[in-house]
Amino acid sequence: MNDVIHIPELALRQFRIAELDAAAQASGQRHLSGCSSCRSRLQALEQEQRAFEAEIPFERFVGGVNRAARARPPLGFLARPTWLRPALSLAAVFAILAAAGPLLLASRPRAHHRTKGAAAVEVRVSTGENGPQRVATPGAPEALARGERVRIGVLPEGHRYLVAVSVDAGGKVTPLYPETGVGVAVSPSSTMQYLPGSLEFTGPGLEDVVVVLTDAPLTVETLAGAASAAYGRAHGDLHALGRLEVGGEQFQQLLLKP
Amino acid sequence: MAAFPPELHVLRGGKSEERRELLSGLYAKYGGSVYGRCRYLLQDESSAEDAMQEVFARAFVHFEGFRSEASPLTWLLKIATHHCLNLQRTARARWWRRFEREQQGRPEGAGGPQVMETRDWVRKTLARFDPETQAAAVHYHVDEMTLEEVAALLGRSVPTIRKRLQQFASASHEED
Repeated sequence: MNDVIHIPELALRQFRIAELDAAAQASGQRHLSGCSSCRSRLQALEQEQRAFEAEIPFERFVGGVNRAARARPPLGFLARPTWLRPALSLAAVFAILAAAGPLLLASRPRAHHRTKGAAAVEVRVSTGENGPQRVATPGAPEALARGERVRIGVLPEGHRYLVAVSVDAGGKVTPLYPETGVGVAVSPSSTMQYLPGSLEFTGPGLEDVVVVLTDAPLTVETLAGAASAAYGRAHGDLHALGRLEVGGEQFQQLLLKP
Repeated sequence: MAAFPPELHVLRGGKSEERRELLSGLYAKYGGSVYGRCRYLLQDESSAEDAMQEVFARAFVHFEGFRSEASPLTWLLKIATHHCLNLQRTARARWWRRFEREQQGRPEGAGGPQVMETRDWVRKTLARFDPETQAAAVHYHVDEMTLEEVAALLGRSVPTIRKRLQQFASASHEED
């Protein structure tokens, strides 16, 4: 029975690339100086890197990664049941709402074909006040052009509070409405209300906008925490973010930043 | 409503980087580890290279988030593991079909108890479990992470991860 405690695999890999903190790096160095087993494992990791570089030259690596980066994520690839979960009739609602309506309109009549009592959220995209507008397609990432802005419309249907955050592909959660504290109060009306301000998301890649309508106050910090937890459960895959562990009706819309 | 944001609220995400320089760093530092993980799980060089490219593309596209990770290597291995396990689930990777054929073709009682490296044992047992258990088993047995580290990485509690690993070990021993 060998009682020597060796450096765990992941820690050894981190040691090799100097990713450990200074104390752990020094501790690892001390262990390696007296442990031939870990030294040979470390050499095997070095050999693994050399073999990789011999098998896949850098230029081939660059070309492959660039192709993969351009290809992902496949637009229209997703069917996002989470978007439909709050109200299955939303597809019809969005089809009606997509017809027209100025971006900066404070409110407008509700869609006639909406199921009675169903709350709804609409994400509108525009280049500005006078530019063309479109409604983001539920269930698929909405590709944004550079400079395009997003505005969120909400049909509260009796709910009293709204909280919204966005999560980027790196797991960074940004409070949207409000920026801190308890959710903004919404009028319990049956008309589409557009939240003030428009949002521009910079940086490339996916961003998931999460809007929650509640009857009781909910802080944006709570929602942000739930979003972070969901991101962890989804292994960093925004396509699989799923329902956050907070109450209320939830709506999500993926955006693909340029 | 209250606490309105300004009319135009710009949310800072990533910023453009020197593409080749960034990729050069990723290649030299993490290439072997990520490619090794993909090869280990997929057992096919071509599929592994494609999977590795996808993992680095994700890191590249979301570089700001990637760079802010406490351990970019851990993040990359998590993404690689998750991506490869997904590929296996959806496409039934060739290694698994080959393993099944070998199992079917093996005579009763042949071979006796086999000495199997932990990594091989884990890989050959993975397909029978749910995605979360698969990921937990790889990070625990292959990366040799602690229960606490696996739980933190997968966003689950320690008891949950412990239960998953116990199920994994029990089912594997039943097979023996």
